[in-house]
Amino acid sequence: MKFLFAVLSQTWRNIIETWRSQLLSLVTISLSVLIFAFFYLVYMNALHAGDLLNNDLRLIVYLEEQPDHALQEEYRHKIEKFDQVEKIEFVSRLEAYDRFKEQLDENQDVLQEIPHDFLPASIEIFPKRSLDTLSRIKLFSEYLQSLPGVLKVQYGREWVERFYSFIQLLRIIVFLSGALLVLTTTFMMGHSIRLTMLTRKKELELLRLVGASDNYIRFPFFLEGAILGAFGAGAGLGALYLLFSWIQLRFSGQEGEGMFAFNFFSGSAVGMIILLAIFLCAGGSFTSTRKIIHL
Amino acid sequence: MMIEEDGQAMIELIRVSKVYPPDIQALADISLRVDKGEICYLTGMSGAGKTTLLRMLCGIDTPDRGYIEVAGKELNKLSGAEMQALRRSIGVAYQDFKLLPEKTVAQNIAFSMEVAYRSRQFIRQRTKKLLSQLRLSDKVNTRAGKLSRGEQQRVAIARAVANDPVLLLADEPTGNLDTETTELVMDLFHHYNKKGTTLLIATHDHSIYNYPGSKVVTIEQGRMLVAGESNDSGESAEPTASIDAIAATGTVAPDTTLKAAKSGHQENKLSDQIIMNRELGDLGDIDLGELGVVGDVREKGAGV
Repeated sequence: MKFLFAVLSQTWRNIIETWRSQLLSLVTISLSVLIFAFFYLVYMNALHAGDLLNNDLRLIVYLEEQPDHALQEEYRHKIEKFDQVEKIEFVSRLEAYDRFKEQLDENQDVLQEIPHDFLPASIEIFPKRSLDTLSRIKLFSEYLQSLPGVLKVQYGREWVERFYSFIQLLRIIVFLSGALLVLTTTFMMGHSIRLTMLTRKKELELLRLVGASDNYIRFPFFLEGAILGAFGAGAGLGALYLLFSWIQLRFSGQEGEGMFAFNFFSGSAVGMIILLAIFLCAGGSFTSTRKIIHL
Repeated sequence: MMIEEDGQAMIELIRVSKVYPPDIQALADISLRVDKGEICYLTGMSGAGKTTLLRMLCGIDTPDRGYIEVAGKELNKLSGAEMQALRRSIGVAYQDFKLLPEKTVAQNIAFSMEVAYRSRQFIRQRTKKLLSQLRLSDKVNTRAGKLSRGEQQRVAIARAVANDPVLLLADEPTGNLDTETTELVMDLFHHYNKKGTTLLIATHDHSIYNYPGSKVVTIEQGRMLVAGESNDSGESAEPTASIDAIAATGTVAPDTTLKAAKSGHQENKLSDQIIMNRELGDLGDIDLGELGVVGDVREKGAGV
């Protein structure tokens, strides 16, 4: 208890005495967290949007011949061999005709002179919904195309590929901004703590002379890092929330809102980001104290 | 960590040597024992090695050779945590004060108590009391950098004694003080000595080491002269002879024996020193019978 009290009072004194460099660190950490959290939020929402779009995603495999029951089972077996799917539906020539007729609605009379089996039989495959569904669709389609008796495989190829590229790009940006976050927070904290320690060099020397323990000297810096991490991340996420609220207010009710509903982080995600910043800043200060204080 | 004190020795040095680069002999074969509760004055000219000796006792410096024991702990065998605990139990008043000029007098004094996790109330009361004893009550909130040298010295002394040390090392504690303040500081030291604190005071101020019964050790160019002792009337003993001089001739000069015999305890201390050095193979064959004190010393089991 006495140790905790001593550490807290030392930490408070450190922060007060070097508030300028602390403020600079706080702003840098906030900006880093803001940049990372912004791209991460876009990425999460893009994934969410992709997930929604996946609901309607299906591959249509057009066949040369109408498959009998044995052939259907063989196709089913080969499809499931590649990947688990949500559902496989065989559509006969007649079923295809009926569907088409239904779609034509009032213009059904154009089909009067056309034989009822003019459309090819097909297999409709509903892939399992997962985060990397889109990345696998292309491979899946190529596999299906290679199966015997397959005329053509159809899916929103262009759209899927573009969306997949976008997600990939976002992943890279999130990774880079994450790396930026790691580097800036640890570097800034390390730098800030080093600066504090240099300005307090005499005091630290004296602490050693009067018998201060390693923990007595190190813990205030460690705690200082953790506090700056928590407040920096809090400020960064707060700024992002303000930006998010502004965007929602600005674009609410516009076209496409329902399709791409933009959501903020969940409470647990906010907690994780704050914990990450605390961990990084405390780690940065710990490394600095270990390097500088030769106890 | 509690500091265990075995026997009576608070400080024990055996043939301690230190050479600073390139070849400055700061200390050469220093052997010294200071008992618990004793007052020992370390005298000698500037550059004699007094400060080096004190630095070694508080673990700031390490000897090139020799054995140092403080409060029953062999210094070169202490772990980092043990050394820290030992330092918390020792008060040191440095010659250059080592005050933090930007901090107030109270904050400077509180330093040694804070690392020992003393309560705020204790720190406040002790600081107030010490400042009152050293007549610095009006400076409690003054920045240390704004004080005169004499005032800074008193603050450094207050910080050294604040934590009730078992051992107090003071390096020229009265160097910047007038006679009246010197008396004040010495009274404070003696007050703590009566409470059980062992004092080792490095000084070249003759006026302060005439306290009855205290040990006086003179260092000259890194070498220790024979230890003396202030007599009951407060007359300080002059160093009697160099250990090296004795070692060189193999005998103790007649006037040395005569001087040594003037003080009852001094005989023991002198022979104590000789036996210690002899056991370490430094003195060769000396006829201790000449001193007439061999029996006493052996009965005491003196030496190492």
